[in-house]
Amino acid sequence: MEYVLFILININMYIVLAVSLNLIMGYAGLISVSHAAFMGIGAYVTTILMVQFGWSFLLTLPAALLFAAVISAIIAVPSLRVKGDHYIVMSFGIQFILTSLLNNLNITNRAMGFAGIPKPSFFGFAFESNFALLFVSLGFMLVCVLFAARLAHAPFGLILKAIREDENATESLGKNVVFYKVAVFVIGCSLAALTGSFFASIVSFIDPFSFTLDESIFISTLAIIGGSGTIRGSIVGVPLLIAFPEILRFMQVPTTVAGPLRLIFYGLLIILFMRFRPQGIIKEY
Amino acid sequence: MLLELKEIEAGYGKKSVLFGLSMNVKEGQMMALVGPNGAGKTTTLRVIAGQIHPNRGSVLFRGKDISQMMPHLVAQNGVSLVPQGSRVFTSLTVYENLEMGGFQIKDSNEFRESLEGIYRLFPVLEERKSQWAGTLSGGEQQMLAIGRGLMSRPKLLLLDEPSTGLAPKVLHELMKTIVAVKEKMNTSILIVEQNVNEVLKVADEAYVMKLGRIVCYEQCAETLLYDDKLRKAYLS
Repeated sequence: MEYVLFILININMYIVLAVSLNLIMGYAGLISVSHAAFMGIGAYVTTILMVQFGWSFLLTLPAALLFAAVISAIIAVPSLRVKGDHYIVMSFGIQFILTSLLNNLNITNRAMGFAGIPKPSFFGFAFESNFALLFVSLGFMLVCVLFAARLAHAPFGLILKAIREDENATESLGKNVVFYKVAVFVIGCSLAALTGSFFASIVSFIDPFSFTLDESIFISTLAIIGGSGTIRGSIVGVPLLIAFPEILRFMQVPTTVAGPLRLIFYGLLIILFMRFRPQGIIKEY
Repeated sequence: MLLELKEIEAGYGKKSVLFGLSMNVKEGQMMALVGPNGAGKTTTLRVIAGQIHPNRGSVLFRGKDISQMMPHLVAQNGVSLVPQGSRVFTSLTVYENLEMGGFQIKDSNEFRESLEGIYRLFPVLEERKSQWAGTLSGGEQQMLAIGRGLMSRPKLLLLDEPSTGLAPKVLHELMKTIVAVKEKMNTSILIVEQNVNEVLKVADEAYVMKLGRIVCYEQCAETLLYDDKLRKAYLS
């Protein structure tokens, strides 16, 4: 039972990550491989504030949000002025720098990370059992998804798609393209940071290995296979992709084989999807 | 004068394309800009739309210098560029494409009026309003691109080679509609076109460009068709 709860919590977390990356990548067309780094920023801000400064979980959320928003804006303003695909290379750089910082700064406790992070509490009411934590993650996921869906269906989402297709044409219709690109990047990265905050507190252990390039690429895979440019795609795709490999555990496969098998499964899935259904599970149009 | 270009020098990086180009467009006028390949016609339109900032010279639009303005602000000031190759947003519907052109209009009645005006000009767009723009034919996409540019009711519409990829018969119809745009929407037009025969028949005045300069200005565009000056510009 605990095991199933853990998977469900994981699914909720990954849905928010996939949906927020989808805003950046699927809607605005900014291919980004630094999403896990921003999740890491949120996780570490929350952890350090809770463990070392004794803040309550709820108070760390605005701090994590603000911190990630400022960092992503600092990165976005110069790099998103560049047109075309250069941004993907820049996001590689961002990911490497942030992973390296997490691994080497004293304040992030280097490669050891933090253990025993307090569970989330709201107004003095602490959520301790895994069952309660599932509802915390579910609530968080629903709020984020509703927010993202509103954004995507507002004129904002339409303008992002227009930018993805043709920046010059969008500009000549009177839209400030750089502003919209920076805005969606900051929003998406801030959502990822919030996910990191919840992740740290729910799992109560973090280290730099949870926020590496591999993880960033895995999140992009979730967004693409679910269906880029659709919020629904990420919601439908994530549970399938997270839950399906778990079947291996019930097939009496030894864990040493199950790990590599899982990766092979993902690799095959990506190849098959790109060959037979590049639009993902849910088509944008 | 609606638009005045004075002694424009502009280019891409170190490579200059325009060498002291000057031209005027009057209110309510359809001005044709023709010339051989590489003359700098598209660059001229991009300078006016703010996508390229000139190194020297000024662009006066309704008396205001817009030469160093960001493209989206130029658009908000009433200049609308319809880029070459009918670049509609293929993953949006026809209606959403038009919506993209009209976001600046805050008043919903005004928006609806604008939309109805476009549908009257291009009835086919209303029939296909919920269709993906990518599924339209070439001519329909060009109509959508022009309609999208007109949604914000610009004072000046810049058309870059609307004939690209269109059948001759479709092009003829489109030219007639462009004249209707000028007359019904109270919009001045600056049109760059390779199909000199079609465009000079419907334009009011015309400039001929070559190698980054204006080489000829004609107050009655059609006379150019029977004139040697045009042939010289293309052939010599």
